[in-house]
Amino acid sequence: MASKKTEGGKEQASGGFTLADVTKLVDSLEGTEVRSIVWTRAGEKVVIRRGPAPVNMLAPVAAPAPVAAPVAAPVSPPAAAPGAAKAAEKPAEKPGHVVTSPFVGTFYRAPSPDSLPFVDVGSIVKKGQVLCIVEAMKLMNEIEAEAEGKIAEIHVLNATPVEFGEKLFRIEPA
Amino acid sequence: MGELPPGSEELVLAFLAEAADDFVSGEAISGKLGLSRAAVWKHVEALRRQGYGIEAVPARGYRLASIPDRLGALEIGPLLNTHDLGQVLHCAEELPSTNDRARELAEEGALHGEVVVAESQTAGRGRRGRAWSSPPGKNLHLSAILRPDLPPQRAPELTLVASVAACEACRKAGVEAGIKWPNDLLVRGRKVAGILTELSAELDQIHWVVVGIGVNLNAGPDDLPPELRDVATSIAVERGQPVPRALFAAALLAEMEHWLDRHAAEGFEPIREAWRERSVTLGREVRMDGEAGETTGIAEDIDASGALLVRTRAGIVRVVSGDVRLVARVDPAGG
Repeated sequence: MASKKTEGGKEQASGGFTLADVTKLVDSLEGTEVRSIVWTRAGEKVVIRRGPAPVNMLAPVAAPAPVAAPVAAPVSPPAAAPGAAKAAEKPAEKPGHVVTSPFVGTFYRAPSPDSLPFVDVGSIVKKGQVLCIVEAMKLMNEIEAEAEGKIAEIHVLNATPVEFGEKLFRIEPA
Repeated sequence: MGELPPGSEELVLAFLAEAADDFVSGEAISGKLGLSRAAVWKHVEALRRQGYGIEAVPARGYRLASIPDRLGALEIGPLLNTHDLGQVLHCAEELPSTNDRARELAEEGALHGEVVVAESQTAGRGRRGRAWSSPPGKNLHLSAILRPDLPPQRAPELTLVASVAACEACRKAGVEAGIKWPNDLLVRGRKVAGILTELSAELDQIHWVVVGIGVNLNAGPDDLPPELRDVATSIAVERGQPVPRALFAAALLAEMEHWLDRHAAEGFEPIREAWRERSVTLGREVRMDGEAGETTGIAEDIDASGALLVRTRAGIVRVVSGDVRLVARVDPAGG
């Protein structure tokens, strides 16, 4: 199952990881309970997820990863994602990934009242980037993008209450 | 005397700390640590220069009589009475904020119970990016990394757990603190401690929780900025004498663990009861700042998830977040 992909199709030559490093790492996970591991070295990052999903190798900041790992969204046939037919055909299901609130609280678009919002409509976000804060009882939860892409919609106004599971953002493939 | 093995000073101290109030002979130390008697003496002298009170009595040996008022692992570690909390301590002279450091450590895989402590913070934070200012070396800035087995929706309960624990630590230090919803600690209406909790979670799983607690311990009135003197106080000001900070830190961690354990075993109900008993909010008139302006009402209770229930003219309002201020009582007699 362990297929390996490297950024831009090249085998790693410069900097952090060699193929042998990764192979060794994968081998060492064999027979363990470890399902995923993130390994960073010399500015490069290897993400390994085991099980049904293939092993992906992503470069950190540089170019967007060739195949954006589908994260939470139900996986439709791979062809569906970018540059397929126009999106507006089925208005019920807008494309992309919807970020929802993990609990009842107040939605904040910026880290403090004086700062700029974390993101705006049109912002390009990376996976793991902070989108907003939901606060409940002085517990601050920074909500992160679970997929990369473009912020297509912000469903809630700043500093207003949100319910559990309420839609906060829609992220479209950029 | 030649080169000393690195860290043997700490070993001597740990040895003395372990013996607690008992004397340890120089011979026992030197034998155990493989040092010459002269080397042991040299370490004792060095430790004394750092502020450790070490008695030396002929024929009995050495005894650790007092520790300097520092928040290092050496000072806090021997005082800990916990199974998880603070068993790994990250102590620093200065950090931007202990919460920021704790978050980094959590992201790097730190274990449940690891604790960050700093003598001073250069960018201490309160709610919504507000500054938390505190002079170096006087107060306690502590952040605990937790990995509770709890659905994320219930994570806010932990902020009340922390407030009950911090309140108990203050009371055991002789200061009658009370809790303002959700988790500020007040004494005579002035703030003595604040708690800021941060969460990283997916929809169905908590990655980590960082509970940051700032307690004004030994700051005197002059250490507070003028604009805060009427609204803030410290443990030392309230009890009339300074508190050994390492002792307070260890007591706070013990309380936190106790209440976290109860929460894990029995759920929120005992926490709710303990919170009510220590509340200075319930029964008071409160003002909420909402989007639609200010609302006032009487704080009646907290519900089964910790939200504040306020009776307003429009009925009961359930407050989950935002600022809740106590409306000053018209109480000319004072107190």
